Amino acid sequence: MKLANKSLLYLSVSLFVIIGLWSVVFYFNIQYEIKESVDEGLENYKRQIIYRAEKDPSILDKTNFEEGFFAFKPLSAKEALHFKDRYLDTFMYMQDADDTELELEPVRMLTTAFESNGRFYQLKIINSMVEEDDLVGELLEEALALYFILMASIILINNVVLQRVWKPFYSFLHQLKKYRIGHTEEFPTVNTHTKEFVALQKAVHTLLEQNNKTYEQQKKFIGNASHELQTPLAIMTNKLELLLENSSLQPNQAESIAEIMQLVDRLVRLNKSLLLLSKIENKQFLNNQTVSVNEIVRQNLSDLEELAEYKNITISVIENTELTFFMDHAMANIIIGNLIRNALFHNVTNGNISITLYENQLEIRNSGKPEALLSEKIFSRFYKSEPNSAGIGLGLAIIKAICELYAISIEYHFEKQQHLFRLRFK
Amino acid sequence: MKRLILLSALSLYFLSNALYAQDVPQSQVPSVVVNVFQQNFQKAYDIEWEMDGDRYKIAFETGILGNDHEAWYTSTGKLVKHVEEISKSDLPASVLKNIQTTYNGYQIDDIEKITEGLTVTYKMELESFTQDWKIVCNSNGKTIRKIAD
Repeated sequence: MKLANKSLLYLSVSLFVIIGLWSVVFYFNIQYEIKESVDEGLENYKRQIIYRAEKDPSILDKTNFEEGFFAFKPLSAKEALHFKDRYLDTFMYMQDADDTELELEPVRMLTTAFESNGRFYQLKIINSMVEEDDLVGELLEEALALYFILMASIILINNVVLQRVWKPFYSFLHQLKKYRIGHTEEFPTVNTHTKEFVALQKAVHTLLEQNNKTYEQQKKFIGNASHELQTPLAIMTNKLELLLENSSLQPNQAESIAEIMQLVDRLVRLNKSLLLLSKIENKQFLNNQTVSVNEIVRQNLSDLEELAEYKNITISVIENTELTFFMDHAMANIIIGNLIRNALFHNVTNGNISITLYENQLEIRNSGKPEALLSEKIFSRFYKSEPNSAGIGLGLAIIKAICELYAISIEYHFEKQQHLFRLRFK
Repeated sequence: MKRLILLSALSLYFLSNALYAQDVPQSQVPSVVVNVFQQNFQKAYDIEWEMDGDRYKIAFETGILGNDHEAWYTSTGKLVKHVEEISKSDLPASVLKNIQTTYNGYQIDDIEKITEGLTVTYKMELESFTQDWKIVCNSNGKTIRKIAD
């Protein structure tokens, strides 16, 4: 959930509660106010009616509400003297403008007692009240309208203000996402004076500086180490070959030396791979040209023909299109060659390999172990799915490094009992 | 401690108020009395009802200047006494003349018109540098009572 939406959620909930509570309070206040003012009106009517009764006693004969909003009733002195003013909420049959016939309408009634010419009377005065359900309905509508207006304006303000405020952050995040250690030259920058963002930038810069330093040291170390190992390894191989040519050796001694030679050979290969990796990472291959992927595939297949025949593996190539890419030829050869070689080595006897070329895409499928490889680990250095295999565990790491250099995406899938490597050339 | 004193003073004030003044809200006064009062004094405001023995005492004000009034009603709604604060110019000319001749050189102050049934009397303070008097006179200006102040 985005930050803006999160704060919006909290706001909407709390506003809903606040406005809800406020409407309740407001409803009772309004009701109280209305009653207050109706009562005041009734009191004024009372004075006027008593005043009129003094002048014109004939109105004292009105004993029901049929003609007006007041009615008299004679009272005994005893009753009258104990009578106190009463305000009452009640209902009466009346016809409103919006009614077709008489309906029970809420009224406020004042009952009082007074003396006129020595006789006591009770006086009832009515005034129509606001219908409560009307008031509630009206208030509910108003409160909802207020809520939606508030929410709409908050969303608007949120979108404008928060987006503006957080813009440097998102731009910074975007730069950071694209940042690759050892590749991107410039550090991500945040174009603002906002304290928090500036602090974030500082922290990120410190972190990146340390990482870059470590990365450089590591790169140098691997490069130097593998370079320095080259010569001793070459001398070792030479000396062993000379020793083996010496015929005075016992057969079992010769066998031991052959084994040592094999191990040395493996060391040489490992060293070469490491050297290659560090060269790739140092971008020492920049002889870029338009390379035909189809051609490289064909070339590699003809090189590996014998091995495929030996394991009796059928290889099918479907060339849907002529796929070309702008990169170093040797690098392209390493990627495709390694992938095809992997497909052969990790295959089963009588297995199959199918290579498909699409526009911008190369797929290599092969039969093999009937279970998926760990896709998150296979591209890391020295990872081997079979610990005892003759491989050195750098093939896929090299492929990955080259792919990263040229922004080629590489995926591994296990589909229909087949291992699938897919390269996307962008 | 200060707060305690203030609190006890306040509570004492309210308690004594309740005990002696016996303020009553208008809604507790019989309708007949209220209605008679309202007919008698239509322009009264700031009305305060009190029980004074078995009578209802009403303190109220009238006019823009807020002249003070006090009225006493029986429980059957008979006006028995009405005290009204008036100014010098409201005094009947004959009364004023009589007083000015009798008490020459005195300043007239705090005039009250007292109506009890049909008899009207005036109560006022007379001040000079040497002597202050409180007098009550009848509607002709004749002094009924005279107290040194």
